[in-house]
Amino acid sequence: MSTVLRYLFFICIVKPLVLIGLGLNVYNRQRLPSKGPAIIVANHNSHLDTLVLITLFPLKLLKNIRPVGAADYFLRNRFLSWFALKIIGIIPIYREVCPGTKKNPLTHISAALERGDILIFYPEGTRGQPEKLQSFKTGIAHIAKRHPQVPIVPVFIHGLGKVLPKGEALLVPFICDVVVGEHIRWEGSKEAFMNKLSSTMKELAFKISFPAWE
Amino acid sequence: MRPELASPNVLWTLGSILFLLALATVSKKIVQRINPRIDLSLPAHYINTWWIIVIPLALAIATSKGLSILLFAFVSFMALKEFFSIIPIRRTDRRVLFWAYLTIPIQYYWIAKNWFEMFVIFIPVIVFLILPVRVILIGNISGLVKTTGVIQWGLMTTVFGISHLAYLLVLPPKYNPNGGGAGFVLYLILLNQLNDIAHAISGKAIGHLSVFPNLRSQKTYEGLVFATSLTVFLSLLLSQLLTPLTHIESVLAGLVIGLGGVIGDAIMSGLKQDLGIKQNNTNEQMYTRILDNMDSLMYTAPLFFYFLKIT
Repeated sequence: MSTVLRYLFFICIVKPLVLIGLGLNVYNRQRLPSKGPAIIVANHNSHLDTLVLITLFPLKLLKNIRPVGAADYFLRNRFLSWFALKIIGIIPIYREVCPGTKKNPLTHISAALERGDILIFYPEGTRGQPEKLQSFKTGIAHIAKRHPQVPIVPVFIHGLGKVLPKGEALLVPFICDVVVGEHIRWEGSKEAFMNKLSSTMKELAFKISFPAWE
Repeated sequence: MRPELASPNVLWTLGSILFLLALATVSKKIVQRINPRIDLSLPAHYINTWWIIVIPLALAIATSKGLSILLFAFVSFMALKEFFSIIPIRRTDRRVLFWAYLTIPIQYYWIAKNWFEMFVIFIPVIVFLILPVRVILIGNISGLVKTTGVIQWGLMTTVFGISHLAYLLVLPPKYNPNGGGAGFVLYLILLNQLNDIAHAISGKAIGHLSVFPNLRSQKTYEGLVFATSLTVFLSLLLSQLLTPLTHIESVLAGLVIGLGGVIGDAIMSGLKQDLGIKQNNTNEQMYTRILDNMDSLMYTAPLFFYFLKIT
């Protein structure tokens, strides 16, 4: 039942909203993975980021696409958690690990990668200030180290922070840019990997020229 | 069921355009098959653009008045969105831009109701007075003039300008026994697009003296003379088929459409140059697809409309 709703939601609401209501300008679309396992790493400015990234993939991959979202935010009430888990298909991640528990917060992520899913991951951890890139948290490095064979695809998104920034409910249409980068993999050390990731992201942001938004 | 907007002349014209387009598409394929090294990117670009213009237009004309109005409202929306995506704006202007989008359904509602006075004054007067109020209510005063000016400019071209095509399209047949409102629209779009093509070809082939030396546009005096005369000539031919204009009136209409198109094109090029946007037709930059192809039409539509009004 919820699978049907998920497809209906993406076909009838998300695709028209993203492709006609907003409009996308995709650079290097051919670099997107055509099958899992893979991790899409993107900057995060708006709830729409996830919908846009899912729209980039063909519908037949929809069942394999799993955005990683904060459990404390998306599971905070029953309706939201049903919507996040069943319709968007998130993998909940617990941002604050309780000191007493031994449970690894990345277990579900590893399981999904072993199933061959395509994960969407926001290393900034939160949407933050609109259209500003924040420093990356190192969770992604742990995942990369555990799964060195999984390609990590950096994607830079611009414009959605203007369309629907954090704390706003009013959606204002703009055409958005999506720049897909070359695959990167685990580099041997956490530091090297994180440097590689942030420098790639900055290069991607540099590729497009966008109007001022002060 | 007979379509409410189509007269026999309009259907014949549409049919001929579709036939010529199909012919052009097939011959392009054949030329490419015979000699793959010939560069056909310019003709291919125009053929594609024409398909994109003609198919929705034909559908709108062949179905109903309501659908035609919706079609042009949609074109206005896409054009305004492109415009808002390339201009610099302030964070606090999001709500003002949202209001600006809301003018589209209202402006096209006047058309559906045939309320001519509101159609004419809504954007140039009412919106012009109200939008700055929204900016002042938000309270970010520094940059007020720039913001309101830019937004009003976008609304005048993409909403007010384009909506004249829709108003023409739904004009009652008594104004144009030859082709009805659809006849005017077809006449205007055909001349406008052919004028653009004539400029693109002649600017490259015979042009030397640039009309706008400070613009990166290819408009030349030689091209201007060639394209304008061609447009006036075509205007004389087409006006017999599609409009009630006399010979003198169609010469004037040809001049209005030809010269107005050049001005619209030049101003839009200037805008893009000012904003630092490259003018190219690559697949990667699709920001200004509608603005690029309709820049001249956004100027000629109101010009031609009021030209008809006073003749």
